[in-house]
Amino acid sequence: MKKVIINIIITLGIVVACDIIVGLVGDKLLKSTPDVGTLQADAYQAIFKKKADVLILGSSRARHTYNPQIIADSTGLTAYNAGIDGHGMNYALIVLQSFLERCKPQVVVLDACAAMVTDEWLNNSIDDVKYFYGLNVPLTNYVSKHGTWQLRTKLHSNLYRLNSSITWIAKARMLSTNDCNGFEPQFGNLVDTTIINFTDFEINDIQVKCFEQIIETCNNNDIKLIVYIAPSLEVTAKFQEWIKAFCNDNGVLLHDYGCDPYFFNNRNKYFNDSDHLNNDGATIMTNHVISDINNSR
Amino acid sequence: MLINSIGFWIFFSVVILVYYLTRNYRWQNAWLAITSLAFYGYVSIKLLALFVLIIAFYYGLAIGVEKKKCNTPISAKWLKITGVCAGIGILIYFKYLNFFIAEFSSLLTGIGFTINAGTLNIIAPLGISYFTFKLISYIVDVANGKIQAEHDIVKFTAFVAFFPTLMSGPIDRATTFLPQLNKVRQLLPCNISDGALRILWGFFMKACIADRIAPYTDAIFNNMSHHNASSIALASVLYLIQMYTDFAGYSHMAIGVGQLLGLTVTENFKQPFFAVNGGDFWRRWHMSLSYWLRDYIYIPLGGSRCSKLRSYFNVMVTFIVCGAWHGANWTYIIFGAHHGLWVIISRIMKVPREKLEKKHYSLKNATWFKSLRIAINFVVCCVGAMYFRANSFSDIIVAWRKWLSKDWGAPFLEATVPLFTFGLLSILIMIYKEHQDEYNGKAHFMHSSTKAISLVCIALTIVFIILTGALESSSFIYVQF
Repeated sequence: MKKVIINIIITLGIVVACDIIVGLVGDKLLKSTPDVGTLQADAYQAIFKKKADVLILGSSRARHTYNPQIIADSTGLTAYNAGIDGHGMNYALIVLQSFLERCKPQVVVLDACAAMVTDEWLNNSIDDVKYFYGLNVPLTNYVSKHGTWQLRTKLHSNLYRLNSSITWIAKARMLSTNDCNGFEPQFGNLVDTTIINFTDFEINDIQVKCFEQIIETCNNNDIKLIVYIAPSLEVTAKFQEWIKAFCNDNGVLLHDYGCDPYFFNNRNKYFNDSDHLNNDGATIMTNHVISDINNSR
Repeated sequence: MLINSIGFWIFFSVVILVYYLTRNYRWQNAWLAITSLAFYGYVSIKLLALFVLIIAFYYGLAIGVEKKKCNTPISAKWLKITGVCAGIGILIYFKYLNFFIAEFSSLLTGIGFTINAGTLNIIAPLGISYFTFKLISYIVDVANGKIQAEHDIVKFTAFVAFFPTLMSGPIDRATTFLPQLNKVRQLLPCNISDGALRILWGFFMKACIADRIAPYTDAIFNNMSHHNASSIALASVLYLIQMYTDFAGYSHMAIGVGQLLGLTVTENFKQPFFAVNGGDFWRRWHMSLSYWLRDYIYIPLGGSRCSKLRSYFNVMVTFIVCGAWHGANWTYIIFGAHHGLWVIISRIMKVPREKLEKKHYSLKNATWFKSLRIAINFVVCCVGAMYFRANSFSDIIVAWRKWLSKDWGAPFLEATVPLFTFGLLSILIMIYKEHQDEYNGKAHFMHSSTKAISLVCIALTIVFIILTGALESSSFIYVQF
């Protein structure tokens, strides 16, 4: 039995040593991740590096809709699109709080959709950016507050924190630098133009709390917050009603283009797929944002 | 509560602690029975009463069979038949009734009768396919005098409800398992190290291979008509590997947990990808089921001690039952028939192959010839895996249409970076280990006789699993059966 215990201690010793080494090497590689436009590389840029006057937050709909270059050219303000596929209000809050550690944006454009305030994407924010746990204060605080005890325990291990990161770090190093500032244009045209109506909508308390915190953070830092609903053929009427009431109650400006007739009537021209605009649609939508920013100045 | 979840390991820690604190085998059995029923109740509290009722029924029935055996053998035979029929009846009611209703109604509709046959809202008890087979084999063995009826209901409950094998097997036999419960189990160093290594290797198979492959095979098989022939072929190959690593991973963990409790659980797999024909494959794949089917279906039907044609019929019936055991779906029956046919073909081919080997003596030991036979068997099994995974019979037709057409473009490879990096590397590690296990008798890898190599291999396997595995514990394929 004594031998078994010694063997267990030696094995654990090797694992702990590997954990420390992987942590040191992994963090060094993470901190030198180039800006290449992949999902995790963009998350790293948004959380640790970028500075901008106009910060765009949201999901893939934000990522494919608002072009920071056009905003910068038209308003003279620097802009960065921190929208990432499949992420909700919790991720948007983490990015905003991280941004404020470096600079204070003048305007925050928040693109909202139903999945951002339900539990559909609740765990993505931790799964996709857990690599930065311990390196980023807002993320660490969020996990401490909302993460399960199992997750908090597992995240003490560098091996767990950096699980599966080797592929995207290596991939980021093989790609050339991207200067789209988080924006990812899409160039397809929609074939099936059917409008899909979703009836299920149930808010998630954590996501709504994060939404409230975004509003509060913007108010406290004197940042202009404008909420958008980008055009989509996937319509959740209950969400649109809810967010209208929510923004009204919290004194936030909301521009609902969700079922905008102009986009709907030209849907095979401006949509890439049922939930995302193509580059032409994105340019029109970005111009709406520019006029709203100009009006608010 | 899955075996690869944190919850299970917390539960198991409590179980093992109390288990070894009690130094009396009766208390150990009682603790095992209580915790196994608690485990069942935690997963499915509604069906716990039914499960206990079934255990009690078979407990009483076996005692009845034993008593009648000496005085009135005919009554004992009828009691045995009752036990077998009750097991089959439970399976039919909970697993197949809705299937029969739907098929019967579509048959009637097909011949012109319009009936409105709804389906029944039946929830199948957890692990039903496993424990009913355990109980049927128990009652048959008692009736055949292979084992005495168990008079200790606590011990009997511990055997039937043994929690590591409750959800996904292996299907233990009373003949091998019950005698182990007659003596006190002690925490032996060899059990700790062997058990822990089996669990570790099971985790590796599940997290680093099966769960890495799953997103790809799901994407293809859930949308078969949108993918080309090469994507379906690649998904079929990967699904066979996924099926193996998922189920063998579970089996390794269950056997490892059993070892930590001082109990030997039946082996379920033995390097199946090195099988050279259909028969050989089923002697290595899901062994606890295939040997069960051999002993309780194939041999009672006459086995191979009859005419060739009759023995082929017996093989086919056995494999159709094997397919149907997996679930109420034509895809499973086709899977069974496919393997039955392959076993029959392998048998038919045996004579010409042996003649060929006699004529060209070098063939028998030629590596290329053996490799060719392994490769052919693997391809046939991949087609079987496609039948197994296909969502419906029409999907099987779609796959064959694509394979027979000219739709052989580049396979779908979107979002497959983790699969073709970590997953592929893990598959290579597994193949290397299995190759060594199959052809090199020496202890190697984590079992190396050189302590330093062994410890480093164990530590690096842990590191590899945590760093590259798909760690969000997902369900096992065979839990649904």
